[in-house]
Amino acid sequence: MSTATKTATSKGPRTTGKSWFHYYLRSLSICPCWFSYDKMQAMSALFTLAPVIKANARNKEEIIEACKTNVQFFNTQPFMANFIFGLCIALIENHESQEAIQAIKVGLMGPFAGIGDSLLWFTVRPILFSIGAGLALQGNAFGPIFSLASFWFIGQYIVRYHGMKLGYEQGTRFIEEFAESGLMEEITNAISIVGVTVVGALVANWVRASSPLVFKASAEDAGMKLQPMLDMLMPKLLPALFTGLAYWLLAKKKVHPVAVILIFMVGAVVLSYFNII
Amino acid sequence: MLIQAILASAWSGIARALGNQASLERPLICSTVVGIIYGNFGLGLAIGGTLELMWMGVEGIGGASPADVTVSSIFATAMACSHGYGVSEAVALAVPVSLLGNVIKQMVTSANSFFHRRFEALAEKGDIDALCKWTLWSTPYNFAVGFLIVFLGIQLGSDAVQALFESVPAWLTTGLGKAGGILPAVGFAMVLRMMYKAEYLPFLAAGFVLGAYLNMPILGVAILGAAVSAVLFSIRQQIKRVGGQG
Repeated sequence: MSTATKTATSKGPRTTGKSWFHYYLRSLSICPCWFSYDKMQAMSALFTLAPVIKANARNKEEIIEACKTNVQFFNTQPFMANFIFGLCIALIENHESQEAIQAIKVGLMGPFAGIGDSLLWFTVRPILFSIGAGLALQGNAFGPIFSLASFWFIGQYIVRYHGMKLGYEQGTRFIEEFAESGLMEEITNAISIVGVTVVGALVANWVRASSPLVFKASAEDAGMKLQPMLDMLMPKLLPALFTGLAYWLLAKKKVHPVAVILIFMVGAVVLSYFNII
Repeated sequence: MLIQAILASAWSGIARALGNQASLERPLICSTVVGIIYGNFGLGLAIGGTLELMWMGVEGIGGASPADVTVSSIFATAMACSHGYGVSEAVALAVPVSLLGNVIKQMVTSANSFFHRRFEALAEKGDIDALCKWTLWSTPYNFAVGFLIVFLGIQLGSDAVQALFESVPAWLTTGLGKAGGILPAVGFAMVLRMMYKAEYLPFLAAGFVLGAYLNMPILGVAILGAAVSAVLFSIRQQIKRVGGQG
């Protein structure tokens, strides 16, 4: 594997500027493709690498070998996959053995999926889409456009397009060092801080719950309204409590997300029936 | 009516054929597009915004997703637009449909294994061109699956949905409206579950204060959060460089 770190000594044809866009387009085959539980994204690895495999194969046996290894199970975060594909292109051009390439693919897909899922699916996209959803709820047509454009720029252009080139140019050693240096963890940490801050504000802005409850000592009594008292205690207290309850059910009680949604729906209908919220 | 149903189903097909990588399958996008198709842009935006917040942390990983947010948001928005419902009815409809849609999705994923037997046989022969051609064929296949699920759903389910909502009493409609306001809490909790650690509590509290006490819009909070996070990041890098505990 260590021989693969220097791509400069490659023997095969070099990938040039124009090819990158072509390979990027081919990598779009990653999902859903023929997504199945036993093979997942297997076919897109073969599809993306096919032109490189064909250009660098010296005989029919090498093509058969490449086909056989690349239809095997493959699954990672779809954007992060391009780092791995870029690396594979460099390895194929260096005429590394299929076993070595497969070992790197399989070795990296897990860690890269972990980084990509937590960073892109569960942090960056929720932040961008919640901003767009907030705009949409105010009747602003730019909401969906903002979410898509910003997420495509980060996911498709920065991570995917440039990630592929980075994987190709920097080789295995860089990626291993990057994974081991702890820098990725620091970046995840930094983005999570933004995400958590945004969620705090989202709770205040977009969870709408208030109580019409009035306490009366007798029928003639004007009564005391509950909501103004709650507001004096803390604005948006009920939204914060409901979010806390949902978090407790999901994270601590491990209740299925759709079950939590159903509990909240039924709960809201019941509380509303008795005029509590 | 049929042409709208066909276009809404086509969007489901496109969203499925491109997968989650394109993010066209998110409720915010699906409901808005379906709203445009049915000539009710405003309602589409409102349903999309609500469903997006509610399903915020739902993402299929390794083929395991808790709900089909795409089919449900397209179907619910189509029903709301064609029968004249509001956001709360659409949300109430989307939840059960998301479960049903997920069952269908899992069945399709299981059935796809069948194709891979054929791909393995082609790989044994080294027929790389045939394998690539088969990969391309997955696009019309996925489009057809996405199209059919929504199209059949609208054709077979529309009358049942109408009958269901005709008999709904006023107190239930009011309650569902209240639920629509509270349900984003579940979406936010889902996202928190993925990224929250005890050490982030100050940031959660700060974000809440900016929103609740200062009424700062979300983008403003995001920029401020990014600024603080960037400063902390460089401080941590600095500590590492001078040999602290990092």
